[in-house]
Amino acid sequence: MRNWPLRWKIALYSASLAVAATLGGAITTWFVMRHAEIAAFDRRLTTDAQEFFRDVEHFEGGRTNSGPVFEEILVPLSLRKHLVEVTDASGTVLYLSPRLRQPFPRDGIKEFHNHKIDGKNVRLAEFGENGLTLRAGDDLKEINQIGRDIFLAMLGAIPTVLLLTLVGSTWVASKAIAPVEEIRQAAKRITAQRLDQRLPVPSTKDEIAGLIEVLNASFERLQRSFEQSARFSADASHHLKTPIAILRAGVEEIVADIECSESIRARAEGLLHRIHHLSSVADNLLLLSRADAGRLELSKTEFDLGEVLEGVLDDALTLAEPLDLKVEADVQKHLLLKADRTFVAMMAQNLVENAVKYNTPGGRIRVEARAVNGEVEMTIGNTGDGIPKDRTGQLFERFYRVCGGERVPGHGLGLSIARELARAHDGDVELVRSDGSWTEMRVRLPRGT
Amino acid sequence: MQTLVVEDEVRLAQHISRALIEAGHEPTMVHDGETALGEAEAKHYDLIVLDVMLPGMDGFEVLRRLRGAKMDTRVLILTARGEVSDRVTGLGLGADDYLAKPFATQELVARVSALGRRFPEKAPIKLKVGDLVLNLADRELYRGPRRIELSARELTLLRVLMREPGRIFSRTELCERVWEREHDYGVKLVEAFISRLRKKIDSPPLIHTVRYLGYTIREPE
Repeated sequence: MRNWPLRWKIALYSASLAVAATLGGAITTWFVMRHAEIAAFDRRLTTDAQEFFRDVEHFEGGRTNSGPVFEEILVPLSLRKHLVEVTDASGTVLYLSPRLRQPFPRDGIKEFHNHKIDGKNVRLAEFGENGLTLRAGDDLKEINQIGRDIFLAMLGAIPTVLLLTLVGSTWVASKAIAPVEEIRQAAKRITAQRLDQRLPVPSTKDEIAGLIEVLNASFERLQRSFEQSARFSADASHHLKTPIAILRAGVEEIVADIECSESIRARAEGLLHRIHHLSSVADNLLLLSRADAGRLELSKTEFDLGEVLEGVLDDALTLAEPLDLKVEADVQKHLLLKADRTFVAMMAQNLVENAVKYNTPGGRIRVEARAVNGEVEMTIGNTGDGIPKDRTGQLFERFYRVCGGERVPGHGLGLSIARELARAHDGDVELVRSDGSWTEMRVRLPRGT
Repeated sequence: MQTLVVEDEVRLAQHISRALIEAGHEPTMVHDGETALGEAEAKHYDLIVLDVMLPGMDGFEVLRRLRGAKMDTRVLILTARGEVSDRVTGLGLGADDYLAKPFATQELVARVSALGRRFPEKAPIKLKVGDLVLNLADRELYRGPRRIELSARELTLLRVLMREPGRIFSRTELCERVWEREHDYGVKLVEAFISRLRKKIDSPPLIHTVRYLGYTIREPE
């Protein structure tokens, strides 16, 4: 039920409430009706009793204690349908209803009360006048029957009530939730590339309008911070690269200056490469900052992944030679891909570089690429100590390096860049295996053709 | 060649100018967009080296106005961003070439010289240095009658060298031209590939090491 749509939940709650209300109504009605019916019964019996005593008073034959007279004349018809007993002052029974097999008990009958007679619940009352005592009453079968009928009738309405409220409240809930659904759809359209869009504000001043205003304010802030970070990467780019360009031009002049001593020119040449390295760190950071702002520009062309890997494998072979590494490759032919060629080459280069760096002398590197279900899958595996289990989570973090030190060059951006570039192409880079002997990374990219 | 260098960083403009003078050009320096526009309208220049990020009027705006005034002076754009959109914007506005900062000074000089030729050469399909012939169409290399097999990187490296025989390439520049992006083993790779190329090309040697400066390819004297 937790995963139900809201309108179903609302409908269910409403229906439960309606059923409970109907049930409560039925019980109350039954109770009130029964009470009123009993009061009416009591009133009728009292009136009948008064009429009986009046008739006895004005009987033409004068005051009588003759049973047959009561039997035939004096007890009114309205009383006869009930249980009736008439006794004189001495307690002699003058009249007894045929339905009564024996006289009523003598004690305890006064006002209207319920008594058990012949195993039945009977409501009884005693009236007395001029030495005559009239005891009358009846079981409440009829009244109970009416109460039960009404109660059952109301219970019978419950399925109808249930159905109507379910349908009705689903409709009402759908109407109520419709603006929320619109907000959801509109918010979905607002992405990093289209952050300038806003949700339409309704003319009403209800809770939904309030919600939309709050959301729009959040989008405003989001847009500002996105624009800021995008502008930052452009500004930082300029303010970093221009000084590097000046530095580089200056050092290049020293390298080319024949008036400088040889050792100075040699050192300047070394510096030149450090500058190149610095500029590439700046490039990488700017690339990551653009990726964070969702503004990585891809210039997609169609190319054969094999051609790109050819160069990367060429490097691997060259680097592997002094380390006595074996490089194996299994690249599917004509593996066409529509993507940013430079970025794909960077991904492959970064991963193969790592496979060389973290290898053991005499080890192995294996590069595979093939098409799988409309995607290109590229795996790069290497022998080596592997990544400790507790470190695999940090592997794709920026500036993270499994083992640092002078022996291993680099600045720990390679993997995070490879992942950002793959994700910008709607693909990904994952670690598929890493134990004491073999580490394997997998790149998945949609073919995009 | 009369060249207008528009760069707001005075030091960088000076370095560029010195390198251009050394290569036999006649550069004039200006440091903002408005002055550049006035200078370009007042005097005839063969080429404008134009930085994009300028105070006030930026490089794109200068280019837009130049082309708006029907001036077809060749323009080489310098940008710090190296973003695809910048390159596209620049070329779309009618720039003739594009160079991302930080560039190798020699690369800039080579581009300037290439743009200075009145009739730009079509990129040749065959590159020749002495008896070494590289056919770019079918990626075949011949030393005299002998055919030499090349790997992908060797081919790219040799192509960069053979396009400009005699020009000295620093290891850093070769790194930038041959590899997609900075390689942690950059210098090592350049050295390794150069030595492999030398072995394949054999004697008499064509690829020469110029001390402290880098490498060059030229015919034996």
